[in-house]
Amino acid sequence: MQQRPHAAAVGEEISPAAQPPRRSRQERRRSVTMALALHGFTLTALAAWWIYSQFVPAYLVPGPEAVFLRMAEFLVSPMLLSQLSVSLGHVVASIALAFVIGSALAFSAQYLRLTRLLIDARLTPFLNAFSGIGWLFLAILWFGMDSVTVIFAVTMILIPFTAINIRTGLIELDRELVELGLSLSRHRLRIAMRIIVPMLVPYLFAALRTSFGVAWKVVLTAELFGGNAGVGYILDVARQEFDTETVFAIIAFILLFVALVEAAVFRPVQRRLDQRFRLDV
Amino acid sequence: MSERARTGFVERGFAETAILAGILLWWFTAQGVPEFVLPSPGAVALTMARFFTDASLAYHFAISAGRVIAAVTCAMLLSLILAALASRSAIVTAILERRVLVFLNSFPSVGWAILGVMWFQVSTGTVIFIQMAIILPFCLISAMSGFRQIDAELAEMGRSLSRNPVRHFLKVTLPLMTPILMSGIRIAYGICWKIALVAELFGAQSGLGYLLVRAQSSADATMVFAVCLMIVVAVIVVDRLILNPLAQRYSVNKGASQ
Repeated sequence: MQQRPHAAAVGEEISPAAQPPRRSRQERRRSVTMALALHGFTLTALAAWWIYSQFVPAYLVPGPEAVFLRMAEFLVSPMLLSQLSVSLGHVVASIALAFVIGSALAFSAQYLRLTRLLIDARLTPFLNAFSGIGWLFLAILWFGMDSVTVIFAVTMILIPFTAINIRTGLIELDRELVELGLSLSRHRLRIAMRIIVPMLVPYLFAALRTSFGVAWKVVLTAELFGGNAGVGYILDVARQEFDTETVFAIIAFILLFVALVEAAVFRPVQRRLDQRFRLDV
Repeated sequence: MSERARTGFVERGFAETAILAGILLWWFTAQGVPEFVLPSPGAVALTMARFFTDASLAYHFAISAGRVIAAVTCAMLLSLILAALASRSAIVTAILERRVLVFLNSFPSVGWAILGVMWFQVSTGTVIFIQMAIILPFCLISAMSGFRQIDAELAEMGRSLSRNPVRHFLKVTLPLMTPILMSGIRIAYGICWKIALVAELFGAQSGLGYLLVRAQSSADATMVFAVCLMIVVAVIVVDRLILNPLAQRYSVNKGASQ
């Protein structure tokens, strides 16, 4: 990380050379204020939720404590975990399929000149404009209510995201570096593996990150209307029984899960990628 | 004919031929399977044409379009207000980015649909609320990056010319942000048609989502196909004819290239 100049508090800063430079008092105070504001906001939101829940019936807005209890119940029973893993399976399968198909489209548009206009100007815009709900209803007609429907619908929604991201990467490939590679080796596979694939990594990662976010958003819809298992299916049952606590608990689980994966996997990887593929060097 | 023009011509020919071949293949497959699995392209085209002639179908289409436009407008206005607040204070920015956006971004869209219907019953207002909630994160991200990329020196110069804040906003801030706002509006408009239509699936009595549910329960595959393609038309036509030209017009690079 870049060392920040300590403009205001230069005189106070007496840090031994061996230690990393300490932050100035002002900066520390600012970060404390920031943390207070952030956690204060979370607590205020929870408190507002609790107060509001005292005034409206529980089937509309259950209080936080009831939702936490329900979440704890879910964690103890194996039912939710198994359904969550079913949903995770749907998400992973769809992302994998969308990646294969999306990159096939992108590579074909890049290296098969003949197909470029077809893919870039016809197929991708069409897929990009096609409604996710539409795919879902078509899939229900074709495959009935099961996992195939869910995976098909989510895959079709994800394909334009992956295709566009990878295609952008291929367009932005540094031509000079590829040229340089060509001058070093004529072996095409070697050039692909050593130069093109590494340069594509940031774009592949961006595609993966977007896909993961979108997939979780839509997989519940797909499972609710077209599935016979998964978290969306439980959500449907809870909805019909007006079991708002379960609806809240499931949404809270999804929020926690997505935020956790984002913080534990995507953000650290993104940081490392940013360091390796800095644009300014 | 130059080499380049010839490649372009060949590519174009290949693209249109491939699309024709695709439609022919669809037609050919449809001959062998029942109508409720795969309707023929002709039947689908006829049903699509009915959206322009049949008053009740046109009504459903128009009401969906109206809801989408209302949701995008409201979500963008709300995002602008929030982003304007955030541009004044680092704390508000942090709260929006690290709490509100994280929350909205991972909130499943169907969750909003279920909660919206539970809380406010089925109505056009509920549908617009659900759609707004779904597209709000996309609008908020673009509005905040719009404020962030305002050139500080240009803003300073604007302030030195006039002290009127409304005038400053209209003449300096808004034009400087327009490119990013336009791209945000394009994304939000697309998502609203493609995903936020889920809002109409839970008991709404009008709109394309309602048509989809009705068609699905009566195994009317032709109508499902027609609605899907009408959505494609609505997204592509508005994007190509209105949103993209507007985005081009306000593009930052345009001034430089002329």
